[in-house]
Amino acid sequence: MDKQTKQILTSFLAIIFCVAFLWAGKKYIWNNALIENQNPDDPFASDIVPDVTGIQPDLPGTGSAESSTVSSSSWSAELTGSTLTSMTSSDTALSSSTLSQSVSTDGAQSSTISSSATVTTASDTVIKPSQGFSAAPEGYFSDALFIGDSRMVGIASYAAFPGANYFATVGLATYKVANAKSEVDNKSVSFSGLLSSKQYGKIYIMLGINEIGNDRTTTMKKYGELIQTIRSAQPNAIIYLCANLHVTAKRSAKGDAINNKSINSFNEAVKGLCDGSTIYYLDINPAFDDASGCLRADYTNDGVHPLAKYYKEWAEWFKQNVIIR
Amino acid sequence: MVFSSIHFLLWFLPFCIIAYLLAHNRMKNLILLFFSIVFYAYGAMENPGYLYLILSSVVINWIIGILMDGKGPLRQYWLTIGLIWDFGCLFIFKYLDFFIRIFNYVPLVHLPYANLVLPLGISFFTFQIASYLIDVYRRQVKVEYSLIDLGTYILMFPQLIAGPIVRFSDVQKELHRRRTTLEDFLEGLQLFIIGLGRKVLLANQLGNLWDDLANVGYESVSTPAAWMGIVAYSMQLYFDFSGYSQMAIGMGRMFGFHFPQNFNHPYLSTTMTEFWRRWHMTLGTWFREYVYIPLGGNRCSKGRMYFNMLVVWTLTGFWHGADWNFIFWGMLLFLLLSLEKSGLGKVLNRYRALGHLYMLFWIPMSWLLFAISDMGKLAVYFQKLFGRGGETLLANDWVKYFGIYGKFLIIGLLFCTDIPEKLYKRAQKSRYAPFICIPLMAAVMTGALYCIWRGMNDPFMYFRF
Repeated sequence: MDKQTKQILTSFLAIIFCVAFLWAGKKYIWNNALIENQNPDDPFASDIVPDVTGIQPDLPGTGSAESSTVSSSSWSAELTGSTLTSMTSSDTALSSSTLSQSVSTDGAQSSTISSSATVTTASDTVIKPSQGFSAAPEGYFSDALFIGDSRMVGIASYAAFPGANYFATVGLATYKVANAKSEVDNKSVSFSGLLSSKQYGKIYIMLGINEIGNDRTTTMKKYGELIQTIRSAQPNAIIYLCANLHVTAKRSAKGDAINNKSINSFNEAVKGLCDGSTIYYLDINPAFDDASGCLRADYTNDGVHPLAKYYKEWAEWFKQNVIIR
Repeated sequence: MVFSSIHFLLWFLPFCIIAYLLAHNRMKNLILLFFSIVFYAYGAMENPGYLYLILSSVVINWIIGILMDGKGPLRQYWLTIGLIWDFGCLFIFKYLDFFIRIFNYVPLVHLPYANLVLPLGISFFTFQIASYLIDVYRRQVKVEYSLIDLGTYILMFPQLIAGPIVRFSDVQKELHRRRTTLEDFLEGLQLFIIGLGRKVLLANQLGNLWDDLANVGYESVSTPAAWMGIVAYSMQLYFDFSGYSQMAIGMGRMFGFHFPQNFNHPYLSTTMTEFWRRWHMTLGTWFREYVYIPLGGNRCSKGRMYFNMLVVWTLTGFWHGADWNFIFWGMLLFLLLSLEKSGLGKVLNRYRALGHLYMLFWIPMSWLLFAISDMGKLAVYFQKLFGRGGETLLANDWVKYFGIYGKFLIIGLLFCTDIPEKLYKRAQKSRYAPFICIPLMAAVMTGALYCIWRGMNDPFMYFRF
């Protein structure tokens, strides 16, 4: 038998071995993976990407699926072979859709009033006060304190009210506030230091997204304690508890703790902490949601944080929804 | 499984190396093939069909290679069939939706999209297989009768998913007979670690700046921040890609292969022509060997030569991704290269400072076209670079960004030059080499592992909101 025939025969043996190996693999390993994809029979059926605009370029990637330090490159899809689609190319067709807004007060009426009649376009935004709230007079926010996570950092960076203070850091959570430090008036201050340094007229709190996956009872207890701390240091301030902003439908479907269902339930719990006379509930979501109750895809790049210009819109919305005593 | 993941670094690679070193010489290819299939299977976990796709591709090309041996009259038909299969797969999985989108611009046409996920590394292995078939047809390489050896060549995990695009003629000898020496192994290990460091410690960090700008929205950033962003993106792309190639070459060296160099300090070029001789060199070689020269290269009329260049650069652009911006990017490169060919290049080569300035402008500019697929956003970014395109919401945002990313930008600039490499080579040769190289490598490895580990324990930016 000459060398070439021998090699071909070995190759056929290898093919047989390989087929057997794959068959066994499919039977014992992949089946489990496939069941999760709910398509046990057709291996190709699980490959559907919802977003066709995300056709990928293919340089080697910053393996975004596994090392999440970077999720940057839109060119990582081929490398990771997964259904990652680039967020940068998301469709922006929604840019002139309608804005409806609602603000709900919780308390005696305990009802969510949505003023869906307020129809505006994104380019020409007219935000009107919702029921129970009114537009802020000049200087309303000069004695306001805003406490929050990265989204509040965004508001502070791109749409700060003159005179207002922002105690906001990336990753802030209710249980972290007491030990956190933030830059206020170019000085790094602790939370208790800030509360004792000045009497505020209004205090806005927007927290929760960073602890949305934690035990809810504990978190709400922490939230309540935080309010108590603030109340005892600032007896006259109006406290606004802000709902956590939704994430996009795509981000919500990602399969981790950050999804709109748990954001909604968290917001409901926050609403329960309000009394409607000294503590009010503010919900930006109706103004930023699409028809399915998710953050609009064209409002954000990463699915979680609004673009800078929408932080401005958000601040404008704050301005139109205040309590005047 | 990307190289810069815990699974790969702490499990897959050590196991693979141990098994490889223990194996008998005749079994080494089989071991490599086995681990490569596992590597691909793991990567294609969500789309198991793609494993069958690549394996059947290997078998089909192996059979066609054998059929093309000898003097058969049907050789060219077999070649055609093989190339149709290879490029057909590439077309369907990568470009089909793009063309459907074009057809759908025609009124009343509403074709459904195929919505296929790209198979892992299909652009790379298609080019490798095609080079094998074409070289066999041209009788430049001997037909490979052993499926195991051919499979090892195509599937070899170091270069499987992100290049370098190794041509069969580069490695055929080593496929059959190679020695794994300690020197080679150590050299490979160092290359691998340096590549890993470039990717994890530099590229990933610089990439965050680019992400930050996108998250803010290009219309709201300041002009200095926009320039910083595109410079950071240029560096990220370079360190990411060249780091990945370096890891591949390093691993190849550990297994006794000498893969061709893929990057040679491209950012030191003075012309675009030179840049593309130093950037992704194996891709350039591929297009030269299999497209440019067969079309006539530069040994024909001037007009024909420019036409050939146009074809090559449009295809190069298209290879990088199925979208218009990649085609425009290829066209831009064609324009620059033609200008240089018709005289500009000589000037730039003579006055090298001018050349560097010229490239300092065009490198980020060309990557801008590469980076942003959305034409609207691209236009906004472009205007931003020249002080227009929307209201800047935070005038000194670039000060903030420089505070966070400044150190990476400066280190990045240093690593774009050849100084660190020269210093390291000198250290390797010095008497104190072990006292310099070992701690340095250990530090880079630890740093990279730490960054990866921290990234993983942070379930998708969980505490980053």
